[in-house]
Parts: sequence; C-alpha cells; structure tokens
Amino acid sequence: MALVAARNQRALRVLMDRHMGRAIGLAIRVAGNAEADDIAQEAFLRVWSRAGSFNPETGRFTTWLYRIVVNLAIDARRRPRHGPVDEALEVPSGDPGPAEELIAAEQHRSLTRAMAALPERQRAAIALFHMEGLSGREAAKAMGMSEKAFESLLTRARSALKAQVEKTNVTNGRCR
Amino acid sequence: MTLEEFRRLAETWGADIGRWPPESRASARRLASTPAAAPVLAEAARLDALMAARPAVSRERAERAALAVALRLASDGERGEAGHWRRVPSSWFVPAASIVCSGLIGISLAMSLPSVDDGQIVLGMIFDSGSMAAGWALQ
Repeated sequence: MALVAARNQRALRVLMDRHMGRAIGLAIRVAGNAEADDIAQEAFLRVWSRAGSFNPETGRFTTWLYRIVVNLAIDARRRPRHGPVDEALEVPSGDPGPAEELIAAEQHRSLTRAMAALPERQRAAIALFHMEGLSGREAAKAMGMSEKAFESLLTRARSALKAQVEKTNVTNGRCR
Repeated sequence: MTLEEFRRLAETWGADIGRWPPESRASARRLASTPAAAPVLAEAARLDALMAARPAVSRERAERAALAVALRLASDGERGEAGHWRRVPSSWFVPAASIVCSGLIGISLAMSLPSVDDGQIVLGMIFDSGSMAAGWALQ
C-alpha cells in the first residue's frame, strides 16, 4: 500500500490481482451481479486516489477495501434500478452436474432470492461475516460501526434471512 | 451461560463457536455438548452452510475489471510507475544520454574513417580537392 500511495501503478495491479475477485463477489452480494464490476472498479480507483489516507496500524487492507466496496454497493442499491432485485442479484450458475449440484444450485437460488429481500446493510453484514469470513470486529470496522451495533445488525440479518429462506422454500413447495 | 443466551449467540454468529465473541467461547463450548444445545448449533450450521458459498467470480472477469481500472488511470493521465520514462530522473537523464550519444557517434565515425597511414585520403577529406590539385597535396 505504501507503493500505491507513492503512485506505483504496478503495486496497484498486484493488489487488484489479489483482491479484485473478492471485491466483485462482495459487490454481487450487496448490489447485484449487473453493477458489481463497476463497483469493484470504482473501489480500486478510490484505493488509488486515497491510498495516502490508509493507515495499516488501524486495520488490514482488506477491511479498508471492503468498507469502500460496501459503501459503493449500498449507494448503488439506493439508485433507481432497471430490473427486478432478485434478477439483479442472480449469479450465473456453473455447468449443470449431478443431482447434488442441482440441489446446491437450487439452494443457492433460494439464498439469492432471500438475500435480495433484505435491506442492503443487512446483506452487507451477512456478506462480510459469513461469506467473506471477516471477524465481528473487522466486519464492524468495514461497515463503519461499533461492534455492538454490528452484532445487532447481524442478528437481525440472520433472522430475516432465515425467515426469507423458509418463506421461499414454502412458496416453492406449494408451487410444486 | 443459559441456553437462551447460547441460542441468541448461535443465531447471531452461527454454529462455529470459534467465531463468537472471545469472552463467551469457553462457557459456550461447555454447553455445546449438552443435549439441549446440540440442536441449536445444528440449526445454525444449516443456515451457515447455505451462506458459505461465495459468488463464483472467474479469473477472466476479475482481470477484465483490473484492466478497465488500468485503462481509466491511463486515460486520466496517471502513468505511475508503469511508464518507464517516469522512473528516470529527468534532471540527470538528458545530459547523460547526450554524452552517451556523442560517444557512440564518435566511435562510429572513427570506425568508418580509413587508416591513419593513408594520409592523402585523410587530407582529401579535410581539405577540398581544388586546394590539393593546386599543389597542396603531399608528394
């Protein structure tokens, strides 16, 4: 990061090699597949322009990057959208495989729909803690809130997600 | 720790007690092995498993995004270290390059000139041929 702050573009490329995929993944979870690439790109442009303000003593680079991505993704979600939310959040699935993979794909779609129904901050909390594997402290820092506030947000998020997944499963069950 | 506290923590942080707040882990682990707490963790684990899958982002997609950032920086006139010329301090580079170029030109000329023993040809290159014809040439 010191090299990036010194305007070393090669160092930025190394950072992008390491973290671009995860930044896009996080953006997909919070804002949807359609806008994820733009969000991740904008995040790294901000890393470049604000590298001098990063302080390694106060946290890891990934936590700082995730904070930028989450803020951009929440802003993007608040702008008017052109398509349905769950469609925007849908991630293209891989090649069809055996029955287990089809079940996993169905579970994934169920989760995607359930996530789409949550407020963006709750989605970000789940994405950071459960999907990116950040600790409670790191995730709270990435969201710019106290650990206690993050705990409360995560509790609400998990509870809402669980309810949505159950609701989706019940709805799907009735349709079949 | 009561079962209700245990349930609340599981519903917040999931089934992996190692990810719970440090101060609650020891008592949670003691409670986890009891018959009442095991189903709580199992239920939390199901939701954890559902959430564990990260969206698959291909390497090509990430590289395309990285390239787009690089192009944006280039178009903004940000050359950074990628431009090799920028790394060379201009204060000494230009004079140093001039000296090197002069040296190369000198070597090139020296190699293309005939042997010094052939004095007439050398003088012919220095003085015009008219002067030489009027008797200035070496005999």
